[in-house]
Amino acid sequence: MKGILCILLFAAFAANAQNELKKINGTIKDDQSLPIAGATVFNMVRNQSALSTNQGAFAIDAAVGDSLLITMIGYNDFTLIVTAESIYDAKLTKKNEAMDEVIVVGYGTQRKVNLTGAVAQVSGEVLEDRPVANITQALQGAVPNVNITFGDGRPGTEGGINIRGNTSINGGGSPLILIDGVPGNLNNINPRDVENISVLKDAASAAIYGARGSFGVILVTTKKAKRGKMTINYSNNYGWAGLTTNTDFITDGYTSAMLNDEAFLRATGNTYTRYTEEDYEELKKRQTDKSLPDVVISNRNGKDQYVYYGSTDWWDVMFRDWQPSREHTISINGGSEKIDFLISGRMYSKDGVMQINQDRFNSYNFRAKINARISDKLELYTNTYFNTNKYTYPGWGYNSNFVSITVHALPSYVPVNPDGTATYRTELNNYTIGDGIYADLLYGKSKGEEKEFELINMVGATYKPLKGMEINANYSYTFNPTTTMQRRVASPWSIFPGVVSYVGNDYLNEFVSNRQYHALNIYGSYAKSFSDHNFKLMLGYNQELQTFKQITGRNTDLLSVDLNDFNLGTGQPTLDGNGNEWALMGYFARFNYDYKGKYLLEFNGRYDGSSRFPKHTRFGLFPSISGGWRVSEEDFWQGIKPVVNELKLRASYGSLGNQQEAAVYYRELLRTGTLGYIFEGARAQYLSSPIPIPTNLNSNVESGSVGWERSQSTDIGIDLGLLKNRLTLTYDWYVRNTLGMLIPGKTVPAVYGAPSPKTNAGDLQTRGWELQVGWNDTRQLGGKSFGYSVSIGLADYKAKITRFDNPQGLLNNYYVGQEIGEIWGYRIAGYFKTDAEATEYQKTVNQDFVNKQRLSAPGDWSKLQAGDIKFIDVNGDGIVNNGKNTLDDHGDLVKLGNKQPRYTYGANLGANWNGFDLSAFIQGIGKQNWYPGNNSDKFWGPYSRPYYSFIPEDFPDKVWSEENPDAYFPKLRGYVALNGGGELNVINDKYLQDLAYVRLKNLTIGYSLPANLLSRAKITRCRIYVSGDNIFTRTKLETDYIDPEQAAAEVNGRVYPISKVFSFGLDLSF
Amino acid sequence: MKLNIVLSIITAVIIFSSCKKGFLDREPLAEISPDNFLELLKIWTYTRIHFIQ
Repeated sequence: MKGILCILLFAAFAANAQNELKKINGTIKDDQSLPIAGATVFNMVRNQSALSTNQGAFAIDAAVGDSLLITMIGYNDFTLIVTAESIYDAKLTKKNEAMDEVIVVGYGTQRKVNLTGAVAQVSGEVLEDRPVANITQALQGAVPNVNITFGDGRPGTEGGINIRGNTSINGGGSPLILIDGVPGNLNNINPRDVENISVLKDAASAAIYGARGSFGVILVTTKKAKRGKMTINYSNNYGWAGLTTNTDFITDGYTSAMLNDEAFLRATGNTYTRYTEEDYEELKKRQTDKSLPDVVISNRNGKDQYVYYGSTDWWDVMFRDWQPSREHTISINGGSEKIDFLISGRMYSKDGVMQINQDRFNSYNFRAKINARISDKLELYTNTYFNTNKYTYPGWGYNSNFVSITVHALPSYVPVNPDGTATYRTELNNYTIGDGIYADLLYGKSKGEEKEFELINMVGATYKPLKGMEINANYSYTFNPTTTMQRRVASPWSIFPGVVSYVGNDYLNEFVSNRQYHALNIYGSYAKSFSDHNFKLMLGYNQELQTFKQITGRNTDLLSVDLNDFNLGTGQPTLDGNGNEWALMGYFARFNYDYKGKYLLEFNGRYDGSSRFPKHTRFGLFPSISGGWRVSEEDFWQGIKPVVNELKLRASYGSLGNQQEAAVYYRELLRTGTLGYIFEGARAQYLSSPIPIPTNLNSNVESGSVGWERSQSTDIGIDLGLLKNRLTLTYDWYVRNTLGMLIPGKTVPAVYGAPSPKTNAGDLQTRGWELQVGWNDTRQLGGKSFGYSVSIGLADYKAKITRFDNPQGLLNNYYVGQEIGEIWGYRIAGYFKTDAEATEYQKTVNQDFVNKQRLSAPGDWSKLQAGDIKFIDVNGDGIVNNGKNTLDDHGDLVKLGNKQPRYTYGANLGANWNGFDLSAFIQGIGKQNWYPGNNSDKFWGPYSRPYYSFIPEDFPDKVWSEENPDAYFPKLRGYVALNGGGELNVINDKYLQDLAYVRLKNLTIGYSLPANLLSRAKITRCRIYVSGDNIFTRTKLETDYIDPEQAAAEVNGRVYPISKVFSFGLDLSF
Repeated sequence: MKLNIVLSIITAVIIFSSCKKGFLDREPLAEISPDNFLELLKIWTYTRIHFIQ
């Protein structure tokens, strides 16, 4: 009995000893035996954690048998089982981010080394710490041949995205964007939620998405919940935005009035301002004597009125120099073996440039992810996302503020009269100051608001019935309503003292839309290996339905100037609606095979049906094939493997469909509308005749019916890894044929009474290449680890028309052989030096065709003079013209350039040492021609409209005169850049611009506080940083008053200006 | 286990076949088609809507 008792006591003691907590000490080092500071050691049994010190040392309580999970950013996780030992060494291996990374592909993932398609992936880290409203602003330039352009710089503005250049001339061609597998808007997600972004560029990788992947696919994967101790991450960013362009305009009333009047006079015979000689004297006095009043009361035409002698800086009156922005994000994640969760939220707001009633953009994002592991085989998950954003602005249209103020607001005019009323007319001439925009803004009653809500919920399950088999099913629902409101109120103004008039109408427009989207995905994969042969098969089904409904209402003359509701309208209300729906259904499959990981083969295919096509052409089959050869795995390569450790050759071919543009072209529909006249007490309604459709709807694409627009693409690529992947290189060459573009078919005579129906009548070919080179290394510096990296991406493409029905080769339409973006124009041989030279030249060359504006000028101004442009008679026929404007007879027109961007590039530089980190991102384009639009006020000044408000300060020095014969611009004449046939309006080689630029897109310097300092406050990470966006730009553009990026997207530049931003922020983790 | 797989496949087939029928037949929601003669006749007879070129 005693013996048994002894044994039991011993066993109990032993068991107790097993579970007794003890202090475990250890060090954490990297593969070069350097200490790693700030690594997290998490006891998965006791739910406790500790951080490693600067020497890599850690101490934590644990019992024998406990699992310690050691994690550190940039390193692979390390698990340690506690034994009887008390001291442990953990060696963390660096994640091989270059070649071993797992890439997200359509309906799955793949190791990068096994990829055979052209796929690029960018980590979410490049999107963090940037003072941007949305991801497109941070993604610009980050991936070669992912072209992101911005038409304006409005807070929260959305970038346009294109992959690998020209897609289709009918306007379709946006890539498919999937966020966690659900189609969505890149601009609506929290940049800090992003784990990575994968870009499927070629047909082989995008074929799995069939009908919608023809122009590339962007897959955004959001961060996943992490098991273990709950962590809280908080970040903020405070930014101040200024403009990227020069805004020093002429503010001297005399100079501006003289310049505009001179240009106006030479075009019309009258002055613009109608200032008298005495008025000019008054303006001149004010150049030196600032004490004189800007506004005087003077009797004109028998009536007292205000006369303006100001020196107003209208830019400062209208716009602010600096606009603050702020961002707060928080994410909480954690979980047990059975369930994990992630909740994140973001608040971002940015104030705009408007001086009065400042415009403002607000955005709120919320995401909740929960994963439940019901059993070893079954996992259920839900992913809920909510986004809302709002933009409010003053005036009667946010872009009107930037167009209206550019005209008739001369510096000699003032914004406000001495009695506090706004100015609008001078009554000296017949024009309106800034089209009345300032009077409207000062009154402050006109305003607009745009709101968007987006709720996406996905529920799904993953089931693993067998080893190697996985079945996924998910359903997602998107609810996306938007509302916009625009109110305009008649605004008071005055020119006669004591008399107030009103300008503008009173109306309220409201627009409400509602988009709902349902998607169902069911797909399964099975992987199996037989000896050295590895197979993987994936089969799936997808169906999608989208419904869209909108209502537009309008009423006029509301009872209140402050309240905005249709109830208050007293005018004739109008109500319009619209709606549509489409459905997609697709069966897809992918088959992968590789032998010893050396020879890689992949088939993708999708059989897709779209409701946007007639029944008989509704379904299409879109197959692709790709293959790869990992040369570096061959025996003969082993000798040079220490130097070139990875070499893979890839090739792919695929055919995809495009259904984006099809819906409206195969049905005859009677459009409805409301006429302007009253019929029996109400505005008459009408039904218009339908746009004709092709007759042969029952046949296939080749016979001229409406069917799938197809894009066939071929890609050849090479992946290289050298010096243990410290140096990596990826190169891809591709050709994409877009076949059967939906464009107007045969040209029909005008008596037909309707436009030519659209059919699959055109083909386009795009050829291009992209190169990505990266260097990543770690060295010792001052006894500390110094990591640095350089990554450079370069891309280019060209596109040409290969089929188009233009037998005459008319240059004002597409033609076979045309390179997309071609710019044709005239050649210039400088200016005439004397009037006699101009007269003499006219005897042999007639250039009236490109001097039409001059011909309508009064008196001697209709004649060619010294300082006017001398056009070259290229074809020697004695007349400068465009001939018949055809390929065979294009007169003196020659190809001058191309407006497509060439050689787009981006470079990322990064370094970190002893808690400090630095990253720089440079982006630019190598060549892009641009001819300024006829309303490009900051370029042409009074050569376009001789009443522009913002004339660059250096402009007078650029105007030709006898004293300045080599000036950039010719003799000053108004309207010559504005009206068709004017000498500056016709495209010519002298004023053709090159928008090539290099821009320091972002520079961030950060410092992470030492871990041992933070551990006392239970903080695992604390980093502070300063950042700058768009802070430096070099461009070949003639003027620094125009942003080259903006010019490429909007020819006149009279839009919301692009910003540069300085910011600082904090990243905190508990 | 095999029963599970078979059941999954049968369920998937049922979903596919039920979804496919008519799923892609979508009509315009906001515009009249001239193919719909009765609709046109109704507009012509009972409304004051104008037909314009």
